[in-house]
Amino acid sequence: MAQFLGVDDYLKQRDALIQEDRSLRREYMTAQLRSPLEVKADEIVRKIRAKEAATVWQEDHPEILHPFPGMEFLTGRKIIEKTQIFQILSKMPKGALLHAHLDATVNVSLLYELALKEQAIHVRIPEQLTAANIGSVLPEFRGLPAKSYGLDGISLTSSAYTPNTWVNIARARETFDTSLGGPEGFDKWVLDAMTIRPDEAYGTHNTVYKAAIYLHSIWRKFTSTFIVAGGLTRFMPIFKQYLRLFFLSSIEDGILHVEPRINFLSKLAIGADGKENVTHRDMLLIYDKVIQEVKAELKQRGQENKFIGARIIYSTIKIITPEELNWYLEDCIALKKEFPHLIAGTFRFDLVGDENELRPLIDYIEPLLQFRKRQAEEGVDIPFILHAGETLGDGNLADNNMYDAILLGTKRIGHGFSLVKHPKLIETCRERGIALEVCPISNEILRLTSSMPMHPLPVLLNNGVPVALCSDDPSVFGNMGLTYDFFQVLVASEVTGLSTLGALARDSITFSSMEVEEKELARKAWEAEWTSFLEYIVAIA
Amino acid sequence: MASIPVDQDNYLEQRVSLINADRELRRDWSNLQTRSVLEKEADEIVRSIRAEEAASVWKEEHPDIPHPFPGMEFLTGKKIIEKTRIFEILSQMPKGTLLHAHIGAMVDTRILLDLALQQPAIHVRVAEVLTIANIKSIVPEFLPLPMGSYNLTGPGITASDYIPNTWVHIARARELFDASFGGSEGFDEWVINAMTLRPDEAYGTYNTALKIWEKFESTFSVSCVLVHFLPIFKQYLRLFLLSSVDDGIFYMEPRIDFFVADCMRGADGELNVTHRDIVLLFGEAIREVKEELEKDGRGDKFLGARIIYTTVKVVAPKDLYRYLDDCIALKKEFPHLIAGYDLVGHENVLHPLIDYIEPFLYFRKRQVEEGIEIPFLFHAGETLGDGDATDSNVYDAILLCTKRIGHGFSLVKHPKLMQLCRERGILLEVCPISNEVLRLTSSMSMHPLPILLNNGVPVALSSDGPSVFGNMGLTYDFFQVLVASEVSGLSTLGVLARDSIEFSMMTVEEKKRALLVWEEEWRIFLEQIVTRYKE
Ligand SMILES: [Zn+2]
Ligand SMILES: [Zn+2]
Repeated sequence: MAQFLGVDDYLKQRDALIQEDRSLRREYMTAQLRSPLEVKADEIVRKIRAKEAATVWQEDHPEILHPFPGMEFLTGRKIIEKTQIFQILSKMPKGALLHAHLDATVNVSLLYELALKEQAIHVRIPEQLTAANIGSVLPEFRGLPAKSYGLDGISLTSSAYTPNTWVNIARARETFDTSLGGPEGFDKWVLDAMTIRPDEAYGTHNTVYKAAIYLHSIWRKFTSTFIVAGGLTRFMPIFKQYLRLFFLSSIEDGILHVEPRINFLSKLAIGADGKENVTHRDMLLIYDKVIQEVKAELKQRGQENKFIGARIIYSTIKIITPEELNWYLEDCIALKKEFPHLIAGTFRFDLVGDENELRPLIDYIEPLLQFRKRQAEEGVDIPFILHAGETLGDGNLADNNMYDAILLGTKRIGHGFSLVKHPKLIETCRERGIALEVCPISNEILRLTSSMPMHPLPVLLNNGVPVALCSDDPSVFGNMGLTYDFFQVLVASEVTGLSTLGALARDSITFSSMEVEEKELARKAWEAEWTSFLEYIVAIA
Repeated sequence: MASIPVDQDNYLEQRVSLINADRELRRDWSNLQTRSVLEKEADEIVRSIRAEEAASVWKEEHPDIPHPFPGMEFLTGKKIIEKTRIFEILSQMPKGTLLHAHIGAMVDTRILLDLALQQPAIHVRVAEVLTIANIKSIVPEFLPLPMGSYNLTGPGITASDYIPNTWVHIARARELFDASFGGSEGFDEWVINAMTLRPDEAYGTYNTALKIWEKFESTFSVSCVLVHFLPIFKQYLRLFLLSSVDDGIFYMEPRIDFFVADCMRGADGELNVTHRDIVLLFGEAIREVKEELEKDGRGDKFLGARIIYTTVKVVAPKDLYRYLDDCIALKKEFPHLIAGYDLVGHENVLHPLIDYIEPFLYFRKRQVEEGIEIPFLFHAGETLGDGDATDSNVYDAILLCTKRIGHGFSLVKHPKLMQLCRERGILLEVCPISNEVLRLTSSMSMHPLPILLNNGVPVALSSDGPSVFGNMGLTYDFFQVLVASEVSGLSTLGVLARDSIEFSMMTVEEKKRALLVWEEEWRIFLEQIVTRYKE
């Protein structure tokens, strides 16, 4: 203390300490190079944020008990959409989307519309639907061969319905009993089965039961949404349109490259003829074709810079045994050899049930090490891009997955929510450039954090860990695109500003799986859009 | 970790060394290599009981607790906690010292009410007649009156002919409390509710980090007058010291708020108690309790106590000088009783530390002139904010060379500051239950404590305002920490207790003795675990 000559000297030393504390931040490294335009736009956004914190977020909302910036997404979404910050961010160039599960990337009502148009799509349930069980019985969908169509099937709500009989989806809708809401009741039942509602995530008592155990129950609901939607997306005519919609809606939100994880657990998908004969290779051919189509379309409109491309992260589920995993690893190698430009990496493990319930990575160590060896033999390189640490545990199996992900040389970490507890691993991520795919809204809805102010993201940013913001399962959570996630991050911190979001977007390109030249292209495209974005902000002020 | 391991053995070897590297900053790390066979055995027993209870007690259905889990919301889970063997064990643990507690919230509210009921001077009033409709929102206002003003007649506060704002003697108000409100017991419940936080308030009505302070501060305003009545204060201090000793705490450094103490009234109901009187009284209470314990042959159970001189951050910077001078004068007269200086209050709405830089620099200069040292022991970073004024208090606390940080909840966001705490030995007074009830974290599993521990920041667990939260003593806080982590074990708790001694403001000599006493009690504690709980 004696070292202070006076208040001025104190303030000088204070400033130096703050700078030093923030010197690892990735936007800080470029902060000195910010253009006057960016500095100005950043200030404008900070001002709007402060103003809205004192206005929009202070207003009383009859159905929203305690609104605040960064609050529970499912409850606060209506307020978020009213803000100017949201409006601005929806125009921001977001860079690449690095963590999203393909089956949950297109708005459920769009998916549902696609399904209704397909004559082959049928629905069944294990028991007749009644007012008593409609909250718990879930629809199962499947594309059938023409000879098995149930076009005049008996209503799911009829007492004459034979459990597990397939009924054409349009027919099931039309014949849905009026006491359960008729066709609209059917719509609601299906859509509810594919999304998480606020009362499900937050319980009837708002924010009381944010518990590890509750987390499991949330995961159960979460998993079932996938099973329902999966029945539709496995049908190739839908799959193809679904991909198109995913790419287009991402582009619309300012995303120029996507790396969805595709779940390849089923060895075969269902073709237009209703037969289960579509191989993973066929799916990749479709994927490639849709990319080319979308690109051509954009080129025609002179917007080719809006979409650099897409890749796939080959994924399967942790329920399989270590022995079964070998088949998938070989499948992955074969696909990588044939489609080197499409396979970004591998693996996701945790679709059915969460990390806290399923087998830890360490159980698979043998096949995973074998996989590396096989790659060397085949002369291919398929980096691991692993989910790890999506847990509140401290030193439990799910938390310890972090060690394995890093030992296995993961290129990025999906979530890495528990990374902040590990000083050595933080250092490793920073030094080796392992980016974290952080999914703020997903973490909050799956109850790892109660709201954004409690989220550990600031710890990561201040430690210089590379981060890309991601949406995880937007169709289930309702955070379509990346605007919502960027929003939640921006409003919950006073350190973070527009330049931070810019650095996050830039890093999403840097740590993507694009080739060097593609990255260069993407970077250039992004920088140009960023400048126009900043100009737009300065113009509205 | 140079490259990806080639085979499984190699892999597992590298895995172990990575985990070790990740944990080597922990303050319990070296201890894990050197601890006694006895400690290792006790630790293993506790770990297996913890695992067993996680799968049994915490899995049972409780009609009023929908989703129980270890480390859950304290106010809801308390009943389950008290049923566990882990709790039973930890209640026997020697806790070391209590470094963060506010004197106004240290004695069980039921006991405080009983003390008040015995005082002829204590009166109560309400702004309107209490009814079923308003009883939830109206809180009692207490005041000790001078003898001439005692009111032992007249209607009670629930009577329709009660004239609003009339003082009624507390015992009379209790007796006359209408039967439809539960009679005397209804009165007790009403008063106690006004002095504590209920689950429906923390997790419902006031469920944000900002709103909960409304109720938190209201509890203080109710109990404050009772605590700050000299005849009660004397007994209150004694009860605080004795109940802490009963929980295995042998030294404490409560924060006494001398801004609030300005409203301390003497037995005659007048504002005539000086700060010096308060410190004298504190010294007396220590002496009495020591004597009492020594008589019982329990002299080692209580090694003493000190006061952290505090004021509230509502004081304008220009008005702080008076308190700083007062603090210096008290330190000169009672060097063994004043541990340090702090400013308290709701950080998010009151003055940030930076506003007080000038008086603080003056304070330092005056200390040098007087040849004394009063370390800062600042509250800082008790917030969810990232880069706001409250979060930035942590910078000021450290720049001002605070010896410890009260809470420091936001410290984990600051890599440089964590490094400074580790290297300079700045301890964090972490209050797990307080943080959770005041909504900085939803449960222990979300608390940032593991980050601090893994980064080697010294930590002492503290109870903050136990009479408001219900976490009397330190057992509850130790419990929450132990059950919410699989890394932390009994040895971690031992290191936390040891650090509470190491980083207290005891003199070197006192610390030496305290450590000896603690080590002996720790050994006895471990032996008890092994003999009682080994299957
Ligand atoms: Zn994911
Ligand atoms: Zn405190």
